[in-house]
Amino acid sequence: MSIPANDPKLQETLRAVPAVAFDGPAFRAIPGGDVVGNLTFEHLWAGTSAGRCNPAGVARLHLSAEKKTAEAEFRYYAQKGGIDPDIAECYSFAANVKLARVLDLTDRKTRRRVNIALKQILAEWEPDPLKAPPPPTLLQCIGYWASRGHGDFSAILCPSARRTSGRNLVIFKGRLAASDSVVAMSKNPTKGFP
Amino acid sequence: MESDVLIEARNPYATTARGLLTAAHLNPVIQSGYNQQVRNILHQIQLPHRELEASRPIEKVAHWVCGEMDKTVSRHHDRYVVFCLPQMPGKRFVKVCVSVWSTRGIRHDFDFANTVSDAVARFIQRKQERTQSKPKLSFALDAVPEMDALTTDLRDDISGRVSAGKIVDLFGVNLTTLARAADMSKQGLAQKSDSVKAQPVLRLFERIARLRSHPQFKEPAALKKWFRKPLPIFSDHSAEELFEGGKLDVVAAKVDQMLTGDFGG
Repeated sequence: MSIPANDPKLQETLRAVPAVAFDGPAFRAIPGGDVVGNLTFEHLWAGTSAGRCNPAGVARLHLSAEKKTAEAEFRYYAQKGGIDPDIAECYSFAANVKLARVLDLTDRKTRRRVNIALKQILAEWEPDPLKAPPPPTLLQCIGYWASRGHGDFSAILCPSARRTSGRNLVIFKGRLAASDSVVAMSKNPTKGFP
Repeated sequence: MESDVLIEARNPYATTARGLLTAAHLNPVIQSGYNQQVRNILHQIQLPHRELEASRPIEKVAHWVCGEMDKTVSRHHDRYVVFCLPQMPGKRFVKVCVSVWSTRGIRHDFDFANTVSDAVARFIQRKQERTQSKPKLSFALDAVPEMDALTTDLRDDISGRVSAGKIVDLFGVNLTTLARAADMSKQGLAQKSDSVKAQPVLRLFERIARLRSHPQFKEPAALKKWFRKPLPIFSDHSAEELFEGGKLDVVAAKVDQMLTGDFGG
């Protein structure tokens, strides 16, 4: 996966799209194990790997807007990575999130404005690591340019591919405004969901 | 590994290719069992005399070249191939390229070269592009306290560096392959198991070994099995295949993401 090519048209579109506020809890599920005891919410901000909404290299925090969505993401990816989710312990982080400007791609009108279909959002995005890296997806380009300040968004709210009506929240570390806050409900993960 | 280039050429081109690849700090590989793992191929297209005749229509030559390309690509699925046509005069070579590209479209898995040195330059460029386009990986668990305690058993008792011998024992990987990944000789790594030069590769293995923190991978046999099992998270390749393909960093990053729940959605 590579950095998207300059796209003035998409950048202009993002600057014209209305933002929504997000005020509520968000969740991250993690597998149990020896790591859990020392892992704090602050460590989660280190993520820069490629995701559905961003190419690699973008500093972002990935959370789910519902507990059930976080659990569905956990179960899907645990299984994909060779962990049996049925016998794996599940821990979770919960945070109170307050963001003034979010790009809401769960909204059909917003999707239409940025010219992306729901099908494109939910499509498989992980490339074969042994093949030449494909260009970033449209959603990753949107995330990349949003993370660079186009539209002044601090996050993307995006439909979950793992749960119907589920939503994921991708918060860009470098885009948080003074009035924004992401406050963990507990320093360390708790067993199950709080 | 990313620096390996399998040579499929006849002499004198094969000898020239070996010398030039070595000069470019790339590793020439000659036919062997190892070539299954090599991701870069330098293939000389040996044109029959008929195809070299100046009166031969370009479209026919291009058609013949395409046939040779298809045969080669079918043997080297998902590899990067530079097709070298060293016997062809420059002007005809360019015309053949135009004809082939127009029928096949621009693709990223093969290129053409008129000389062996051009072909080697393509591999240098490719390696450089892959290195530069690779975003710097960050591992969330590196900043977590007590992480080193999870992998103390993989470190040399005196130097504190990760030991190649212990990685070989834990993952069951081949020392020769490990040495190649570290750009060292097998003997060199065997003599100096905690070599400083090998630490970048060995540190990636150490990060993968953090998977043992999960109850399902406590037993060494479970980790070995996981390392060899094709998994959807690696597009149905195994972690071992990614290692052999020079993508161990992808495995280490995925393990870090799995253990921190950073799935990417």
